[in-house]
Order: sequence, then structure tokens, then C-alpha cells
Amino acid sequence: MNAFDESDEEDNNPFSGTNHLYASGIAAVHEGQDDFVPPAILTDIQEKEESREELMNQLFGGETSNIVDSQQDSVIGLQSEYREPSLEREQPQSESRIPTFSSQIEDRKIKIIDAGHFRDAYGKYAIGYTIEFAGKQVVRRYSEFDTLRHALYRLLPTVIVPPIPSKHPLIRYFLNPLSAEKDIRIIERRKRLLSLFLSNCYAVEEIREHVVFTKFLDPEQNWRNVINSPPISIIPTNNLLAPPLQPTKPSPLHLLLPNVTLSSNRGEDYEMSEEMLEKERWFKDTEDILKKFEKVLQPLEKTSKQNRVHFQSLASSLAELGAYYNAFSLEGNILTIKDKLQLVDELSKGIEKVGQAIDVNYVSTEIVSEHVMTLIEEPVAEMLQFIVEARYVLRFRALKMTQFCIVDSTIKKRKARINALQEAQEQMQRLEEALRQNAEQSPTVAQAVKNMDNNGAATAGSASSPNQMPQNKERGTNGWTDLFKSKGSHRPRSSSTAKELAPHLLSDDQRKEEVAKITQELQKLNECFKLITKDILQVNSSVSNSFQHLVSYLKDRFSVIFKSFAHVLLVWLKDSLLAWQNARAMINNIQVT
Amino acid sequence: MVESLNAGLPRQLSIIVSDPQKQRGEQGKSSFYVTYQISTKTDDKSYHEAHFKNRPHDAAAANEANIIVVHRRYSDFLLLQSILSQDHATCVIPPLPDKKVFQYIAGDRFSQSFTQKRCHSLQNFLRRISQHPTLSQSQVLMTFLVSSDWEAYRRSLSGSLGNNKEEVSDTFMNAFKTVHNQSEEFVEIKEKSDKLDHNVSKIDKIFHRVVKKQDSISEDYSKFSAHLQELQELVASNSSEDDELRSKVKLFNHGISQLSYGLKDLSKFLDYEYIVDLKDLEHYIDSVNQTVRLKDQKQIDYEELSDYLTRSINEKSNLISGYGGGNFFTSKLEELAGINQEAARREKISKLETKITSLTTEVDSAKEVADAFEREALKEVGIFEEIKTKELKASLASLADSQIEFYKKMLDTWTKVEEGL
Repeated sequence: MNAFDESDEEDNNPFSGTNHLYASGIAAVHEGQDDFVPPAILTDIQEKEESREELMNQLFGGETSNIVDSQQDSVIGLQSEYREPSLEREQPQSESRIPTFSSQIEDRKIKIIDAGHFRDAYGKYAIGYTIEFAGKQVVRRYSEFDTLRHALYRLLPTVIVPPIPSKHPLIRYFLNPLSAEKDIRIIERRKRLLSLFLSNCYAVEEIREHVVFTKFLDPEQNWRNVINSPPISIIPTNNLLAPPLQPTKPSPLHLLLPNVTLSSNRGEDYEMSEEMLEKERWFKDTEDILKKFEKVLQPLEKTSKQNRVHFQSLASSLAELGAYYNAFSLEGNILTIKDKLQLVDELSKGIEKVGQAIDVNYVSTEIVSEHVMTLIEEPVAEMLQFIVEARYVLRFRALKMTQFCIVDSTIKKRKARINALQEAQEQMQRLEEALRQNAEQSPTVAQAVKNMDNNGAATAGSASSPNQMPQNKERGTNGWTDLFKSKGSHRPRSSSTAKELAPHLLSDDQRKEEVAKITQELQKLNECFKLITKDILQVNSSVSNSFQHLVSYLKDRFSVIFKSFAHVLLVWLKDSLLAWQNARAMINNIQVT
Repeated sequence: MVESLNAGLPRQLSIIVSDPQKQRGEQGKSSFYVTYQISTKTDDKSYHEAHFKNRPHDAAAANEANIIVVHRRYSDFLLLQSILSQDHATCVIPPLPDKKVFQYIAGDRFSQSFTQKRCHSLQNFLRRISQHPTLSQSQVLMTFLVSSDWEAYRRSLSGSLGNNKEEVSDTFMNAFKTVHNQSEEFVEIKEKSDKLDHNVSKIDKIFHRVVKKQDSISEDYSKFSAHLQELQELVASNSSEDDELRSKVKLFNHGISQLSYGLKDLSKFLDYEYIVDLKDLEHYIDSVNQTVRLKDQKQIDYEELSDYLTRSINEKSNLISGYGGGNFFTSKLEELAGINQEAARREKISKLETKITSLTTEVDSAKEVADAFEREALKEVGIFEEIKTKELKASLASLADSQIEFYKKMLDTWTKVEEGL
């Protein structure tokens, strides 16, 4: 009978649920005109009857599964011309066949299966993300992910730690704390990206096997306790003065290494060996590649953001358009009704189908816009974050290299100094010998030698005081930490109060004292050199590993983006095509004379 | 006044307006105009004969299968419209596209988008006329579609065409009067045409927005394509695995740029044709409303007259029954003036009688006119209805076709892209 009496029929009123004039329906529906669609028209074209409500469900409820499902069904060729809408509702909404990043790796070991309110160990309500790993589930909060990431970053300075979505602005948080109901989008986004973060972490051996990471996945562990206990609690403040691969492992010798910053000089014109230069070039090249990636990715991110916004506004325009077509189909398309009921009916249906096609367009456009975000915008942003992270690792490596150069050049300088001192000593001895022999013969020379000795002592004494420079005093700390302090003239403060003076100005004793000191230093320095050489080897291999991983990850990412976005576009195109073909069939059915 | 509807043999008259061409004016070096090519296909012999007459040397021209081609400019269309509207006052004359004075000033009237839209609109105009049972029979239309002497025809007519100023002022004077007894049919027609107008203009506006959005998406993808080009160069260097990625980038980029072009084409269709159809429909509804107003005008004339008649009859009967006939003071005044009241009364009654007689005939003829107008208007609305339905069908069909074409093409492209990825 009347289609509008039956609840399981579609509700065509596009305005229902709004404040619109037509919200409660339009009266201009003729009695006895039911919504029967002649099957003949639709036998070869799959019918897809979907009410707006369902479309909305697909859109905002489950992850677009229905569209895909029904698409698949229609490809297979479902026999019934008229699909019961309720059937579609019953279909599981959870699994999506669109290869999103969160589902493309089916055998993914770690995933976040849920996000929402939970009560933490202290009885406070918060938004938690349920991680499933090795058959166990653990709920962690965003802040816990954040601290995990930070801990990993500090514990593994040679490893590019995968990024997590940025915090949201603190001010917004105060004004409007996250609630599962309100910020479903932010929570969904975090769920996606945190899940990706975990998988990316899992893909890196150093992280996968790190105790902090395993504790994070362990439901038995209270994260707050983990943070306050080793290894996190004993992370040294300066990674450079600790073993690079395991900063928490005690190593007193590392404390002797020079503390460098990016502005530190590597030592004057430090010459590296050919082998090292080659390594340096490799890292330089890698850095360049990353820069190029960044140059491509940044505009890509911007464009995809715009693209998403454009798709969204297109979708909202289409929504409105569909609504007006539907209104148009129900009323006012004919001025004189006499004798033309048949025509009115056919025309209405044609227009209605066009409206439906536009509705389908709207929904699939909305889905595309959603996927532009999840499949392009977010991954691209993540890739950019990765590159930023990679920079930290590169910087660490560069600092390590600087340390190496400084140690090496210091050793060379010390050795040179010892040689100079020893040479001077020998020269002095020769000179003294000559003077002594001459003085024995000549009283004039003997007098001169006497004067010289006095002067020499005075000069040495006066030279010492202005050289006690303020910065030397400030820098002065105890022990070996000062081993490399002054750059140009590496003179340990403990050895002498005097600045490095030309060797022949020093007295014999001073020379001897200095040689002894420097020899002692050299011993330490050689130990440092061994240490830093080992460090560099470790750092280089670990970092280059990490970079190879990153570059191939970036490339893989592009492939995945292409593939999944192509798929999304195809779904959009197929759905829209089908809807328009349906509309075309109904338009054909309008009989005009 | 109105040609009887020629119910004769149904004939086919299909018209295509195409190929806008910029032409240089004959005298003025700087004056340009645009001509539109009109191709007519018809089985009406008289058209071919008329066409043939002009060029006796071309013997094959009279063949019915031939397409008659002429070139006309916008002002020619205006002339045709003005002749038709004066010949057929009761018909709904299809509207022409706006004059777009602004574009003339801005010098934009030779742009492709302007002439293409106008071309489509002019075609709608001619199609509507050709589908109208009365207008399509017009000799002027035939001359317009066929004659190579149109230029001379137009020149001889120019200036000697009357205008219908009178009607305009008439309409204006009665602008605030409304029909008292509007028939139910017309109440409904008005209501529905308002709704129709409302819907169509809304759809038109939103489609405009949709086109804009589609254009910006198309723009996005062309930018996207440029970025991908850079990416392609970036991965151009190294290993064989890079080769694979590079070919993927290339393929994807191909899809993206196709999408960009496809969207642009779709937008162009929507902008140049579908939105023009919608606009034309809005204007057509206006024309219908004008015809209905003209009918109202005639009805108002009739109602005014019959009102006047009723008042005269009342006055007369009052006089006869001895009461009233002017108020107390007038009769007192007349008494003082020594006028014989009885005689005056008789005189008045006889005057009123003559008035009533003449009014009665006038009312009758006004009623006839009004009724005729109403019939014609109803008929015209019916014709409009038919043409509009055809048009809606055609425009929806071409809308759907263009969408289908776009999606099909993209589906093909992207299916291949996906396979390659």
C-alpha cells in the first residue's frame, strides 16, 4: 500500500531530523502511489536501496564496511532486486575491507582494539587505548604512550623512534577535556596513529626487545612504577657521556669524553681517514635523501589537507543538493495534474533517483574525504615526523663524531706537545752544555748566564698570572672531566697554573712536570680513544641500520598509500557509477510524447 | 487573435545550435559580434522548399534528409522572440538568455564560457519553440531557420515594429489589484510554479557551488600530480626496487592527473549545460507566470466592469423604489433649486438604463475575453508542462550520462592503476 506506512521502507525525506520546513514530510504525496519500482528496469543493474540513515551509519558508525560489503555483493551479483535495509544493518561493522593502515597488515602482532573511557589504577576516569598483544590486553593512556616514546628516545639515541600523534593544545585540554562522546574524531585518530606507532616500534628490533617496551605491553606492570624505576629512572642526563647503545649501563670512562654541542669545533681541519670520509659521505647522502623526501612530503601534506577540506565542502553541498532533489521529486514538478498522473509519477521517480544518486555521491564523497585524511594526510604527516626524528639521531651521530675528532686531535696535540717539550729539553741541555763550556772559558758569558737565569725565572712567574683566565676558572671542575676543556690549547688545569707556554720559556722542572702530566693524560686519552672508536663503530652501524630501515619504510609507505587510496577511489567511483546508472534507468522510464 | 491550434500532421523539427564564432562587423573595424550556427533537421517539406528557393542552382538542397544550416546572431534571436510574442500574445514565449550587459562592459562576451553557455541557452529557446504546437507553425520561425535573406528581412523590419508599451503601463496600473475569484486551478498553478521556481533556483545555486568545489578538487589533484612528479624524480636514482616504486608513482600519478582532467570536464559540462538548463527553466517559469498575469489582467478588467454594472443596477433599483438616489442634502438642494424631483429622477433612471445596457454588453464581452484568456492560459500551462517534462527528462538524462561517463572513465583508469600497484 502506501510506502510511507511501513517502517522498514526507506525514509526518503532528506530533511527528517532537521529543523527544515519539510522535516515532518511533505503532504503532496498522492494516495495509492506506492514506491514500487518496476523490476524490469533493475534486473541488470543492482539495486542499492539505502536510506539516508543507513548511509550515515556507514559513514560515521562502522568503518565504511557496508559500502564495501554491498559493493562486493553487487559484484558477485546478488539475485534479489530489493535488498532489505535491515540486512545491511545486521552486518558486522567492525572489519573494513578497505585496506587502511590499521588493517592492512593482517598478521599484525600488536593492535589497538578499543578506545574509550576506563578507570585507571587510581580510580580516575580517563581515555584509554586497549592494546592487544600476545593474547593479552592492556589499557594505556595517551600520556603513557608519550612517556614511553620519550623514554625510548632517550634510551636508544641511535635508533629512530617512531613518532606518535602530537599532543593537543594544552589550553584546549583545560577548556574542554577529552571525552569519549565529544572528541570521537581525535580519539579515533589517536587510536589509528598509536596503533601504527606500536607496530612501527615492534618492527624495530632494538625497541621490540627493549625491557621498557615489553613492560609497556605487560598488563601486570603499572606504568607509573615502570617510569620511576630503572632503566628509565637512571637515564643519564647527557647521552653523549654514556655508552651509545645502552646509556644506562654504568661506564665511568664515558664521563671523561668531551661534552660537545652542535657548535663545537671538531678541531682545526681535522683530517679523517678515507674510510671514515666514505662513511661521512654516506650519511650526508642519506640526509640529502631525507631532505628531498621532506621537500616532496611537505607540499603533499598541505595539498592533501586542502583536498580533504574541499572534499568535505563538496560533500556538504551534495548533501544539500540531494535534499533539494528529493524535495523536488515530491512536489511541484507538475502544474496541472489532470490526465497526467502516470507522467507525474514517472518524472518524480526519475528525479528522486537523481536525488538518490547525489545522496550516494555525497556519502561516498564524505568517505573519500575521510580517507584522504587517514590514508594520505596522516601517513604523510607521520612520514614527516619520522624525518624530524631521524634528524635527532643524525645529530646524535654528528655529536659522537665530533667527540671522536676532538679526542683524536687532542691526543695528537698532546703528543706533539710532549715532543716539543722533550725537544726543548734536549735543546736546553745542549745549550746549557755549550754555555757551561763557554762560561768556563769566558767570564762575560758566565755573567750573562747568571743574568739570564734570573730573568727566565721572573718571566715564567709573571707569565703565569695573566694566563689564569676567567673562563678557565669557571670551567674548572675536578679530575679528568677537564681533559678536553680548552680547545685551542689543551692544557689540563691540574698540571700547571701556567698557560701552555713556549717550551723554552719553562724551567726544567716545569717541563718535566708537564711531560709527566701529559703522559698520564695520554694514557687516559688513549683509553678514551679506544672507547670512542668503539662507540663510533657501534653508532655508525646502528644509525645506518636505522636509516636503511627508515628509507625503505618511507618507500613502502608510498606504495601502501597509493594502493589503498586507489582502492578508496575505486569504491567511490563504483558506488557513484552504480547510483547514476540506476538514476539513468529511471529517467529512461519517463514516457514523454 | 490566436491562431487555431494546428492539429495537422505531426512533424519533426530538431534544432541544434552550435559553434559560436566571433565575427568582424561590416563597417566598424572595432565592432565584433558572435554568430551561432543553427542546424535544422525536419521532415517538413515547406522548410526545404523555402530553403531550396533561395539557391536554385543547388538542386540537391531540397532533399528532406538534408540539414539546413544558417548563422544567426543574438540580436536575431531577440527579433524573432519579439515578433513571436506580439503575434501570439497568449502563448508562453520561451525566454532568451539574459543580455548580460555587464559582460559587454567587461569585454567578456567573446570568452568561451560565455558564448558556450549562451549557445546552449539559445538552443533551449529554439527547441522550446519547435515543441510548441502554435509557435512551431510560425512562418517567421521558418524564415529564421531557413532564409539566407534574413539579414535583409531584419533590416527592413527594424524600427517599424511596434512595441507594447501600453500593455506595460496597463499592467503597472493594475499591479496592486488582485483577482477576486481566482479559479482553483490557477491558485494551484501559482502555488506549484512558485514551489518549482524555488526548488529549481535552489538546485541551480547549489550546483554552482558543487562546480566550484569540483574545480578546486581538480586543482588539488593537478598540484598533487606535480608533487608526485617530484617524488618520481626523487626515487629515480637507485636500485631495482626503486624502479618498481618509480613505476608505481608514475602509474598513480597518471590516475591522479586523469582524475583532475575528468573532474574539470565534468565541471565544464555542469557549468556550460546543466546549470544553463536550470537557469532557462527558471526563466521559462517566469514566462508562464507572465502569461498567467496577463490572464489575471483580463479577469480583473472583467471583474471591475461587472462591479460597475452591479453598482449601476443597484442605483437604478434604489431610484425606482423611491429611496436614496443621492443623499438627503442633494435632494434638499435640488428642491431649493426648484428642480422637479420627479422629472430628475426619471431622467436619471433612463440614463442609468442606457448605461446598464452598454455595460452589460461590455461585461459580456470582457467575460468572453477573460474566459478565452483563461482557456488559453490553461492550455499554455499544459503545453509548458509537456515541454518542461521533456526538457527535465533530457537534462536529467544528460546529467546522468555525463556523470556515468565520468565515473566509467575514471573507473577504467583506476582499475588499471590498482592492478598495476
